[in-house]
Amino acid sequence: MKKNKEIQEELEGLNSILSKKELKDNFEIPADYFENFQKEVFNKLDINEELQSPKIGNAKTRRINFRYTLPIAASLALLLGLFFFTQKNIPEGTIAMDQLSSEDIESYINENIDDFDVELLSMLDSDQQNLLIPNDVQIEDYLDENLDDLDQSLIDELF
Amino acid sequence: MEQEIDHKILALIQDKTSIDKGFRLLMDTYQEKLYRQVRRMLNEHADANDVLQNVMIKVYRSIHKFEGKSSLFTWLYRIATNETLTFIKSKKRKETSSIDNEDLGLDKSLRAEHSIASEEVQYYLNKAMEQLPEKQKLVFNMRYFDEMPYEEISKVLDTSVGALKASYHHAVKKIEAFIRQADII
Repeated sequence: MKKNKEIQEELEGLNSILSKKELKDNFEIPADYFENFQKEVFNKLDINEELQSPKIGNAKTRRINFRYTLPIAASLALLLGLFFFTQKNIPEGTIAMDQLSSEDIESYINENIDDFDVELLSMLDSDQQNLLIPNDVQIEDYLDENLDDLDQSLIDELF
Repeated sequence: MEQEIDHKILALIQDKTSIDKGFRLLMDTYQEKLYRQVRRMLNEHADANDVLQNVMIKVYRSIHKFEGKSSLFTWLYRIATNETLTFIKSKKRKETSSIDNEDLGLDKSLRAEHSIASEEVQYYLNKAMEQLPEKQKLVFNMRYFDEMPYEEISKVLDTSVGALKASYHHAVKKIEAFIRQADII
């Protein structure tokens, strides 16, 4: 391929061998390289987008988890409250609270989580409810501790 | 002609529904030129491929930042140049072998290519080019192979036209000296 006039004249002005002998690329490009290259680029772009997207997925997951967290936490608090409330009326032969291991309690909660109902809270008198329902400071402490797991849009909705 | 294609590429890319089509046209138009530019600096196809892929991904993500102050090719060339220099620096850091071993590797690589070209003068000319410092080689490649005007090279490398001319002339002289020393012509 002939060099353009300006570049050729410049080389001649420098009295260079390159004005007589043309330097060529000393490599070959693999066949179909560019066709495959475009596919690889688009694949990489897809993969990178997928790697970035879990943030959105996580946010949704967090939102779902957080929406269930409050009722579950309330149910657990209610359950523990009911245990304490009824402990003094435990009939003879019944297993007392202090005889249960934390594993037993957790296992019971996991197996019966669907049976817990926030409406049970209404069965308690106001003093007992106040003991079970967290106050603003406790809620703020909880949110501070778990901030990383919360979705900002949900926090905005709450406050 | 190039301007018309650039307008078409940018119009397609600005529309979200045709961004991939525009990007394909951009690659069809410039990928080989960019590949050659990168490959001349890196010798190995695998390295050139890695760098060019990174270049294209960066271009895809930042094409909306292109302001049209230079031609699209100049902008692409600039990204490819920066990416290539970054790759070279990173590779040099990783390499534990001595400079002598590196030279031997280069020589071996060139000889392998030589068997394809099978032209002694061509081989030595290319070997001479390999001796140039990176920046000088870049200027030489842009001027000699891509036949770019100094003003355009100046935009890519952020260097004055005068300094570029001096750099190119030095490169030509060094290649000349190498050839004469090897006594092949």
